[in-house]
Amino acid sequence: MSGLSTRHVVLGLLVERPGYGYDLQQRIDARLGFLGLAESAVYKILERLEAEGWIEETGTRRIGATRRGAPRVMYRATPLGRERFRAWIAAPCERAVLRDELQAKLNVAEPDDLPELLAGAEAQARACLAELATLSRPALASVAEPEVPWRDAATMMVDDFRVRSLQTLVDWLDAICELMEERIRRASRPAPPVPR
Amino acid sequence: MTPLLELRAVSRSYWRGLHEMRVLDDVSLEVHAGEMVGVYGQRGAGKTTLLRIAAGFESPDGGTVSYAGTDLARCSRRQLARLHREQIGWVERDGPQSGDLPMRTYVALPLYRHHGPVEAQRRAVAALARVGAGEAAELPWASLSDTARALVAIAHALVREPRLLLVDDPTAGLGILDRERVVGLLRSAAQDAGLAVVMAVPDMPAMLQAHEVRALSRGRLLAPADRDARGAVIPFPGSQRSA
Amino acid sequence: MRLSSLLHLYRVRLRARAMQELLAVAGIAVGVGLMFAALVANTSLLGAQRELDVGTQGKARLLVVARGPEGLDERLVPAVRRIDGVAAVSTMLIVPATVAGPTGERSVFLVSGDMRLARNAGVMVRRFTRQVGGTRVVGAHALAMTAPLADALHLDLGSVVRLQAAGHSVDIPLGAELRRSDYGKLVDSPFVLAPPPLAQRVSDMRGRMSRIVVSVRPGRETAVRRALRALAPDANVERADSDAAAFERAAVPITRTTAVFSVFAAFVGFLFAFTAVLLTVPQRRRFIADLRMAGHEPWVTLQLLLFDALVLGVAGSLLGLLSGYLAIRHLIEIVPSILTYAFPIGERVSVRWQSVVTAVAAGLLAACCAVLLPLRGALARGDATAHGRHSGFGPGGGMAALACATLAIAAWLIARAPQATTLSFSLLTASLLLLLPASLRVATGVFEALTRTLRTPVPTLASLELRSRATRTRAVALASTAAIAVYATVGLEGAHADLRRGLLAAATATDANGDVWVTFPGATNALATVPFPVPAGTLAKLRGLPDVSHVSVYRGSFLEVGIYRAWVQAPPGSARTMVAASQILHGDAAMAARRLREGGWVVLSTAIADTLRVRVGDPVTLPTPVPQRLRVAAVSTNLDWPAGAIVLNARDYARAWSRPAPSALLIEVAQGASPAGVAAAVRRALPPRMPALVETRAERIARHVAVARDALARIDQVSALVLIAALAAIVGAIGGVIWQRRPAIARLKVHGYPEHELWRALLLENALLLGTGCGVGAAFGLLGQILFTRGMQTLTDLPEVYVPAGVTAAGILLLMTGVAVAMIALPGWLAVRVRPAPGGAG
Repeated sequence: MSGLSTRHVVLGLLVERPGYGYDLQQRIDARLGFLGLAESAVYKILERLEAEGWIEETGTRRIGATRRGAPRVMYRATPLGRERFRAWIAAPCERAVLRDELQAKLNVAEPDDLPELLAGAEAQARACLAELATLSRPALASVAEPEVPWRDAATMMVDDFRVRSLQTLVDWLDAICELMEERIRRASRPAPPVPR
Repeated sequence: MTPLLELRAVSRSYWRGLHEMRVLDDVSLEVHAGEMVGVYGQRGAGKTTLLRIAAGFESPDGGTVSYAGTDLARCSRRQLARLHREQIGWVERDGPQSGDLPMRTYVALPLYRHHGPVEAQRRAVAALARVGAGEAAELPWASLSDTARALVAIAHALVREPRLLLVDDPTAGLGILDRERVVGLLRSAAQDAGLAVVMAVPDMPAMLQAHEVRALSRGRLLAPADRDARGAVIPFPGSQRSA
Repeated sequence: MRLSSLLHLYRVRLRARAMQELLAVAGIAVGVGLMFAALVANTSLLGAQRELDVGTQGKARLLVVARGPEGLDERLVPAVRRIDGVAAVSTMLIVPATVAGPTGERSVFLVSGDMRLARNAGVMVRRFTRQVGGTRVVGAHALAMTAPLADALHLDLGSVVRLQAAGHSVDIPLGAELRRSDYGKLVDSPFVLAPPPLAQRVSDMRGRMSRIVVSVRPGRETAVRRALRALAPDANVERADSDAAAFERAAVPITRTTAVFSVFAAFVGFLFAFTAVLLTVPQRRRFIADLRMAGHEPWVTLQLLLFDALVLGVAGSLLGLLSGYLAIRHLIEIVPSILTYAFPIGERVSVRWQSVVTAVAAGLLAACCAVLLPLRGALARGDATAHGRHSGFGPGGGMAALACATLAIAAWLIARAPQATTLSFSLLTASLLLLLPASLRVATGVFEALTRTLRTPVPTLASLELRSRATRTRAVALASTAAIAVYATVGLEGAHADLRRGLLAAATATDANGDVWVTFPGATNALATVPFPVPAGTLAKLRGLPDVSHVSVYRGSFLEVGIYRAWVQAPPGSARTMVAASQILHGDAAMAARRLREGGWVVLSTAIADTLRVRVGDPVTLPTPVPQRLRVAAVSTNLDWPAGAIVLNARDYARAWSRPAPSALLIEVAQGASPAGVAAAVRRALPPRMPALVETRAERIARHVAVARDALARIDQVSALVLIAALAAIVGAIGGVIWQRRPAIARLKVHGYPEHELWRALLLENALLLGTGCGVGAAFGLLGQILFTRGMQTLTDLPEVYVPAGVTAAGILLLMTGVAVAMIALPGWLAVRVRPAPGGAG
């Protein structure tokens, strides 16, 4: 998570509209669930942002029957905060690294483990399909439609990235399985033919 | 309910000299009416072979293929031809081999058996219009865009009002908007018209439209893992939960 | 599938491949046209005479026909009329004559009928009677002539015509023109009509007639026939259609020769049609794949293909019929003029429905075969999506082996069983076609081996295409067209030359008998068959001329022997050659000549000897006016005259014919004297009004060369037609092929081959392809020549001299290949200018 600035995400949400801690955590969860931010982490971030002068309190508000019945502290972005947020949007993005436990296992496994690795890879591929099934049917083309709310469009685009990541993963698994299978086959044959 | 299409333990090999290439290995698949099954696989994974065997164009080395409960291996050539003409729509992107036919004639080809040319053409033009390729009616294959070709191929399959649609790589070369359009068309064929659709595509996003997804890898058809088994997978980086 | 669907699908596909389809139609048209022309040429010959019989004789049942040119005594007529059972009698005079107008002279038959009995006569005589009777030239001194003849001679009604018949020359006005509207097809025959007194006077036949036409009461034919025979023992009593029968006989060798040539031409036409359609196979194969993908059963596809074939066949056949008819009108002479010497007929095209049906059926068959055969694999295959595979002319050594076996059988038949011409011919052609794919492979291999060391990609490009399976059918079709074309023309031309040599040898042997000949003028008298009166003292006068060493009398005419109208040659015993040794088929030539000189012996041609059932040494009585008992000295060829020939001594002739006027005077010139000078002197010495033609031997031989050529004119024309058709077929095939090649060329251009190299490769490839086809065709053509020459000799008795037509073959080979390559050059250059395009099938 080093590459992904959660500060800027929270700031962005406040640029969108004022909000309080719990509300921000809900909004993050809905749109960027994969970040897995806890409510407490959100409060920490809010404190730091306020200290830097990027957001400010606009007062407290009592909203329905909330937990502990405590009043909510509402925040909004300051002009400086907006400026920082724009700068962040415009700045080049950090590239996320796809990591998979299988990579680690490959690195530490012995040749004798090949059959198990194969089985693991296949299971992984099937799991990818299962995950695919959990994703909502996109109408990705509607991103191009101005009438579609921007938030929904953004979610679709982010989901599309997840699908493509799955494709990459499945293709990679397919490729390494084929190679490992060939390796097992050649190892079992005393005089492998060299076609090339 | 018997599935419309059922492949049971199908295997198929090609021989290249002394080298056996196992294209399909113990493949089983059921497709019901109103259901769209996506088969994901990279190029050369054996998707086309799977579809050809499902259509009865090719016979498997082992296993059985049943269409509506009938074993295709027991069908005469005449019965098979009838199936292809009336029940099974085959969508491929090769187009007609007679490159000079206007598309309304190409699309009408399956209809000439029972309809006069006027009626056949009328239906063909209507089918073209339904898939949104009405402007291709008078054009030859060579002058169509990739999108129009995909749409015409679908119209050519749909014109016979089939029960099963076998679709081989319909989105190759298409931009994202056209890809969505073509796959959406297939989805609605299953969803709204109640067809069984098998679509093989080397493109994961297209799979999202399918009711069921399979992956063809090294000759084997992989089904999604059970939900319970999901713990074995390291999820998307940073993700702790599903959407 | 419904007919409308078939039609619709055909139309839709036609739009894009109109050019190819057009070439296929043209190919079929060439084939059908060739076939139709050949068939019609044969049937027209026979049709012409039948028209004439009905025209001149009406429906009379019996004819009393004079055996010689001297005719019958008119006094017979009252006696004939008195015979019980005779309903009506009329008389007819038919003699050879010439008419001259402002623009030339024509050989015609002078026909005259008995006007009092016109009721009984045919339409021609009847109408003439009425017409002449109704005009100002009543009863008179006037001539009627067919309108085409009058036009040709620039004669108008009333203008003066010079009419020459045996012995007399008169100037008389043209009294009537016989128009097509009144006389129909008859006007195409070379006739003039004259009132009997005039005709008799001019032809020196006062009180005589050529034939008596008798119509018989029902049921009395046998009795009347017997009575007529008793009344006129020196005449033949025949059925009214005997002329037609005799003509058919006379025409047999010619019809047979032409038939052989025609059948061959027809076959060649069939093959042209076949190969033309073969060129459209790839396109059709693709469409079959589409139909299979659409889920159509093979039999639906078959329907569609048959429909294709039907359209191609019908369109091609119709075009073929038209072109064939035009070819007949303008290229082929229906009646070889040699036959007009003995039969009063003219040019006329008669199309029988059988010819039309045969030609169209052949066109359809060719189209069906060509459409279906190469696609049988595609039709039968269960796998609908497997495309691009070819099953047409596969490689396979089996085919080559079959070809060799067929060839061996054909060769054996040629050597051992010359009568099985048709069979050996079919086998030979089959082996030619079967051998072609293998020949192409061998030629390509040799070509590759020869060009391996060259540093240019051109040969490689060329052989690449030749080796490609995709274009195999096309290549074989093209090579077949070339092979058949050359095969046909070499075979025909070779056999034709053999025949001409044979005819000429026979003709010139007789001509050698006199240094100067005096005969009755007219083209129809080339065989010296018209006796003409020579005034007393003429012979003595000629003998007295300077430089004349000898003058003798040659006799000759036609004689009806059974169904044959045989040519009688009667040279004097002093002649140099009684009969050419080369023409004797059975018997000792030298002894036969000696016996002819002695007299009392006769040489008969095969057909005549067979009719009279005699062999060498047998006694024979010829049906002459005064029958004479002679013996057969030898059996000969028919000496050029298709209906058969008889040779005897002039003295024997004089005894056998009651009024022996000479048919020619033979003058031998003293050694060292100029024949031309003597000929001029002879002409001056003859009475000025005497119709006579004086020729030197050289002039006469030249005339016979022309006659021999003329006898074979139809074969000439058929063979020219085959050559033209062959060139047309090749040009059409190449045109189609080159244009189909453009996508392949576009793909090669992607690799950066420059246009001139591609062009050269294209030329080289096609030259190799056509060269191989033509070469194989030429080799087979030489075999075909043996077959033809042999076959025709057995069929026709015509004299033939076999000489292998090597030079002709080489010439035709070069011509065909040259023309073809030249034809490729320009379209090829245009084709290689196509834009480069990767992959796509265009």
